[in-house]
Amino acid sequence: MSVESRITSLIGTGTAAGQRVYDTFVNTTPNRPYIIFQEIASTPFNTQEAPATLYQTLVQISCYGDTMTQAKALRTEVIDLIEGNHVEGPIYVESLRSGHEDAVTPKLYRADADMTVWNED
Amino acid sequence: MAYTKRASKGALFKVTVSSTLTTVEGVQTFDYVRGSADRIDVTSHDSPGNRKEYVSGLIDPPSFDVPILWDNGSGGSTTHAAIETAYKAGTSINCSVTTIDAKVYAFAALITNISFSNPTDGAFVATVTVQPTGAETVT
Repeated sequence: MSVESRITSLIGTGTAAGQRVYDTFVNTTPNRPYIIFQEIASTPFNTQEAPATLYQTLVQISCYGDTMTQAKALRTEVIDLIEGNHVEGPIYVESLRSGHEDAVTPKLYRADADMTVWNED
Repeated sequence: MAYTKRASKGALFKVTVSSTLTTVEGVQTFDYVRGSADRIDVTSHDSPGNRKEYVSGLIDPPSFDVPILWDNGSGGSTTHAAIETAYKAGTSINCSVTTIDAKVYAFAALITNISFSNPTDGAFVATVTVQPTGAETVT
């Protein structure tokens, strides 16, 4: 299963964002809160005899809300759903960030989680 | 074929599984050190040029480490299982190293150590210590 499929499946509709979970970008402005996740970088574990099948992937998960409290609460829900020593490969937090989008009215707050996803392709 | 410069990825480390040399899965970067010959001093009073003379003695193959993305679990690698068996039994196992220039170096070896690396932010790797013993055959 791909990293994107795993994240989508693990988050499901079990957060305050409901179905508003998007891979990399969203064309229209969704209702808040919502989630956009994006693969930042993926490191293959190369071996001598065959192409790499084990990858360590860094995924940025951005949780958007009307308030910082809402955005961070959504981020906590996401982490609780996806973090763990899964059979398909562990997923864990690398770092957390927060901020807001300047040019958006009403103000849009963002809480990010950088997650490492181990996966076999 | 003319002289060719090559990258070394694609080197193979093989061990015997059911009497057949079989490529070990998951082998990362490793060195195959063939061994240094003893240096025997045969200098005598009539050695020419005011210089010592030597002959080569026995070659002493050192052990070498092979890091492997390891899976000896149920349904895992048969080669990893064979390595584990040789390690626990203390018996030699036939091995070979095939370098990217297609030369095959075959030898018997003892597996003298298997150590597991369990980083919180890295791959599960076993470092296998291979001690060649006896003759090396090159083909």
